[in-house]
This record gives sequence, structure tokens and C-alpha cells, in this order.
Amino acid sequence: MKSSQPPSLATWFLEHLVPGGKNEALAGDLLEDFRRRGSVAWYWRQVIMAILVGFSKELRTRWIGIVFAIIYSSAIPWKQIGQNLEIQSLLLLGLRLAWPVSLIYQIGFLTLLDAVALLAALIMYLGATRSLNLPRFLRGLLVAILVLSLGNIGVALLWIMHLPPLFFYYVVWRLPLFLGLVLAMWVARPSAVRAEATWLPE
Amino acid sequence: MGKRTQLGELELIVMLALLRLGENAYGVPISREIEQQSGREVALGSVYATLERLQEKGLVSSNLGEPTAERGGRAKRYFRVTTKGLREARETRQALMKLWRGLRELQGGQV
Repeated sequence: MKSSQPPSLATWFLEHLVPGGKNEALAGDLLEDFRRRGSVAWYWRQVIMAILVGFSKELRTRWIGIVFAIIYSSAIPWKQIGQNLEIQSLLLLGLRLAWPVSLIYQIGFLTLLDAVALLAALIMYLGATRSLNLPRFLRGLLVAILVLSLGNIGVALLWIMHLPPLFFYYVVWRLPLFLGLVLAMWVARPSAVRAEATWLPE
Repeated sequence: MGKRTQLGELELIVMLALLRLGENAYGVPISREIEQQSGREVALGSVYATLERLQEKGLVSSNLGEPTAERGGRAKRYFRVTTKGLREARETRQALMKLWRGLRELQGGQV
């Protein structure tokens, strides 16, 4: 397929989804080469590759955060927390409500428990890496709450499917916290600043 | 002699393309040069990731050019090999030549 303009959605992806901030030079190069080739498929391929390469680089530089998120989300004693009488009574309170309010209440309750655990982990991580910045911290928290809410809706749906209990409690149950924490750390702590436009000393 | 930096295959290819291009080394000609010389298409995103890595190692430096209309008002980033990079490329070549020398299996272009 030949075209004179690159697909705007792909350009939006390039500007917003490549980790490490906008790369003006890369965007300009892609536009220049696209005008010579005129292939939409080629442009999309390049954008997807740029996103994948950017994420793999981020993963390499942020592996400590990911390991921390795995250890932390695995170590939370959900079983003991679930046996706490006050928590049980609060959870049962929601079960008495009519459906679907009861379901929404439970998802909200689980999200709140996850959010408390995530908040503690995020403060620990940002404190240890000395990168606490309030606006970024709040943005990270907001993203995490969104992920936790969606994740717990997924957990509720999977619970209905009667998965093997061990797999459910040790993997599925802990996934929203893990993903929320990784994303919150990602947003709250920026990666190394892109090399600036100067000739480096030789 | 300072500590040597390990060069990956793509890093070496990109550095050789930069040396071939000289003053006009920015994303598009670099990827085109690689495609013409090695016969393999490398995504521009991979070329930039490699260039950033080389820059972090101090083997390549860069500066921004003027924005142009054909690029939607975006500037080109020009790259060049530093003195350290040049030394590194030369040493890698010597090491590879030593490994190459005397290998009868790789002579004559026949398998």
C-alpha cells in the first residue's frame, strides 16, 4: 500500500509509547525514509520495532525493580491477611449487598488492600533509589490503581473459572500487585536522560 | 593501553557505516549503508539503540542539525566516531584478522 502521509496512529504510538521520551531524530528519519518508500506497512514495522527495542532496553536497565516487584508481590502473606477477623467482616459486609454491587464492593476492597501494599513498596523503592518526586509519584500511584482495579476484575472473572487453587492463589491473585508495582515504579522513576545534543569530548 | 570495550556485531557494523559516511552520518543514510554493504535490513529503532549504546561507551558522539520541512520540522542527529571509537575499531579488526588468518575452510568462497 502506497501513501504520501504516514499513518497518524503509528506516529502517535512512536511519540508516546517508545520509552525514554520523544526521539525527534528517529521520528524525522522515519518520516524522511517513508516519503521515499511510501509504504505504510514498512512504517508500521519500523514503529513497532522502535517500541520493542525501547522496551527491551528499559527492561535491561530496570531489572532490579522487576526482581523487587516479584519478591515483594510473592512475599505478601495474603492467607494470613485473609484470616484476619476485621478484614473478613469487612469483606462479608459486601457479600450481603445485592449483585452486582456486591461484586463491585469486593473488587474495590481487594484493590484497596493491594493499593496499601503497593503504596508501601513504592515508597520503599523510591526511598532506596533516592528518586522521590511528588508529581511523578502521584502519577505512578494513579496508573497503579487503574491497573489494580482492572487486574482485580480479571482475578474475579478467573475465580469463577475454578482454576487450580495453588495456581490461583500464588500466581493469579498476585499478578495485579506485581503489574501495578512494575508500572508505578516505571512511571514514578524516569529512566536515564537521553544523551544530549552535544559533541562528546574525545 | 586502556581497558578494551567489547564490540557487538551490530555495533561494529554501525561504526563501520559511520566511518564510510563521514560527515553525512545520520539515521537514514546509516541504515541504507548497512543494507547496501551487508545485505541486511536493520530497523531504524535498532540503529538508534546501537548508536546510543556506542555513545554511552564513548565510541561515538553526536550533535543535532537544523530542522527541515521534509522531516516535519524535525532535526537530524549526526553521529561520528570518536578517537576512542576509531582505536577500538582498529583493534577489533586486528583481532579478527588474526583469527581469520590461515583458515583454509574460509578461503575460495566454496563450502
